[in-house]
Amino acid sequence: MAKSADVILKVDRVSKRFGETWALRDVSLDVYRGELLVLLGPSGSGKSTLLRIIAGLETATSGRLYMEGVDITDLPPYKRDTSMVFQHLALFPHMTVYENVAYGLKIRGVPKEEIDRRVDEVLSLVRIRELRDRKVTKLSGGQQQRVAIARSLILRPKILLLDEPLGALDLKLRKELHIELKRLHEEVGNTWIFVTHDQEEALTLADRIGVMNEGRLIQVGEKWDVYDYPKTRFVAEFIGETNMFTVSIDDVSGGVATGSWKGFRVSFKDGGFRPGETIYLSVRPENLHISKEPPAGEEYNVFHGVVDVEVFRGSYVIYHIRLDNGEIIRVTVLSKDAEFDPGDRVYVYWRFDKGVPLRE
Amino acid sequence: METSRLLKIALVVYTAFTVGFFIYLPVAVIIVYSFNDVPFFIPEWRGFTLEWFVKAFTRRDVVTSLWNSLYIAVFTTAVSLALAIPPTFYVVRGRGRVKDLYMLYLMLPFVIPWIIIGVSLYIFYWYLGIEKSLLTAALGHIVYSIPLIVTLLAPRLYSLDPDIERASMDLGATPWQTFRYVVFPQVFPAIVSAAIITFIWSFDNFVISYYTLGGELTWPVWVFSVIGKQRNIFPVVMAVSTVIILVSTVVIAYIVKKGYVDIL
Ligand SMILES: Nc1ncnc2c1ncn2[C@@H]1O[C@H](COP(=O)(O)OP(=O)(O)OP(=O)(O)O)[C@@H](O)[C@H]1O
Ligand SMILES: [Mg+2]
Repeated sequence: MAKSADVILKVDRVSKRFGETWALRDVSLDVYRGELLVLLGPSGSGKSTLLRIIAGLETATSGRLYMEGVDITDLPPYKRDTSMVFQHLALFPHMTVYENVAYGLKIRGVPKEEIDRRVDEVLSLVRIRELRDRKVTKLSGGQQQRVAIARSLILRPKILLLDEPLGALDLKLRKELHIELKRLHEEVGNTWIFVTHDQEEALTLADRIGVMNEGRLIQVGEKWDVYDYPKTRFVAEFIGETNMFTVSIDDVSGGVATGSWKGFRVSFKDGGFRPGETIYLSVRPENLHISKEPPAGEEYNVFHGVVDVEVFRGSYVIYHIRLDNGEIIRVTVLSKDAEFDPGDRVYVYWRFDKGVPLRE
Repeated sequence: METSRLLKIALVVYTAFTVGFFIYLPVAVIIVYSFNDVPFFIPEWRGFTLEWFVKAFTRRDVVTSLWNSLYIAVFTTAVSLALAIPPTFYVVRGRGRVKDLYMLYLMLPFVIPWIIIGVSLYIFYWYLGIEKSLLTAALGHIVYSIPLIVTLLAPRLYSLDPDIERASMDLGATPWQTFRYVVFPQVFPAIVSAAIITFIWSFDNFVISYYTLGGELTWPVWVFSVIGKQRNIFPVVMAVSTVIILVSTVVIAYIVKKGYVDIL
């Protein structure tokens, strides 16, 4: 977990241009000591570029980097106390597992006995001790993955940078490794910055999440906050599932804004809105409820419609409801409460305060 | 389906036959008849002898020409590798117009026919009053070897993942250490292949050598100078050829077995 506000790395207004493309635009970020920060964003959003700049493998067009208060912007990679696990691992193909993992210590001139001891230690940590003398080209994807992490971890870097390290693995193996990486992070206790475009991976691993799009860092925060209070439509739609309504506000009073969306009345918490303004309202499927009777109470928005499709997902069910205005919305219900069938006429409702109004 | 299978077999057999008939067979004939007890070439076996080998390797002109060929081939290979490896990195990793022009500049000699390289150097040396020697011939070989080596090494360099070098530097290695421990070992087999191919073509080359040599001859030029002119020279040429074939087969087999190259 993020331990207080002890900033280990400060990224200060970093931009990066490749020819005509801006890979990063004015990115500022504080990374806390000991946390596992996940940078999440679609392909091409600049995640790898940011990581490479932190590692010193790429130079920023503008902006500065500070590690524990010291300006490291101009240090070459081999003088930085960071280590990177690459998107395609980049193991040394002509070496064995041992040689790969020992590489950094050998370069530093550490005595052989100590190298041997630390290699054994780190290989045990990632649970591939028995593969010590194999050629890395003769390993499975998951095993190579562990070698890449071990090769970096053995140097005990202050910050471990991981660039979609699980990208090439199948879903089942990824899920296993998520749990293991969590454990490893707890055990090692250093700071990790983990890049991915997979929101589920981000939610599983992260303490905090930073969401990137088109070279900008749009929102950074505790993962629950980012999930529950996205700042833009992009964030709301990229992390988790959501229903998005475009609402024109016509009344703001008593801390509640009200407007209409395609014939339905919708209310939500006021965020300093004015009548006449158009906003986007994001409502997560799990915050929606269904019933055959209308709900009692004033604090709900209520729609009416017909169950269109039922998608069984094991422990929960997703209902697609065709509303009376013709729009489809998605509602998730725990399987034990899933008592509806396609064709049923139902009320769909949610509490005012569960809708998140977004200006952008 | 059956026809395509037959077609494949037919093609494979056809290639094997062509190679066998036009290369292995004549070479085998030379090897076998270099032991034939006849002072000229006839397709008839008259008994086993080692006389031609003794004769060949006691003739000063033969031995000298072989040494000269060896000297030129070694010199050409070493100098060309040293000259060609750094620019290959630049050509593969560099970007932009200057790089493209540089590449064109380096590669152009590759498409110039040997005869033109030979004749133009002949005129050039004469014009500048440079006395021709083994060295001037080697320079002619080097001109052509540089693009050859670039061509042989570039694909290997292209196939290297630049992230592997970044990983090395990320782990604390300087650019030089990265070259030494990560890049070089990965390119080494390709360098050995390039060296072998350069050595062989240089050892073999007649056309460029012919126009750029001084009084001392290389083996191919010596053969040209005597064949058809000296009586009973065939058995000597065949004996030397046999030795060359055997020695190069053994050397290549050794290199491949040691795993220095990545063919086979
Ligand atoms: N070396 C480069 N030269 C030119 N453009 C580049 C270079 N590296 C990255 N870019 C561009 O910068 C942008 C961001 O790239 P980056 O690799 O950081 O994205 P990413 O978020 O890591 O994407 P992915 O999830 O696909 O790995 C892209 O538009 C990419 O085309
Ligand atoms: Mg990337």
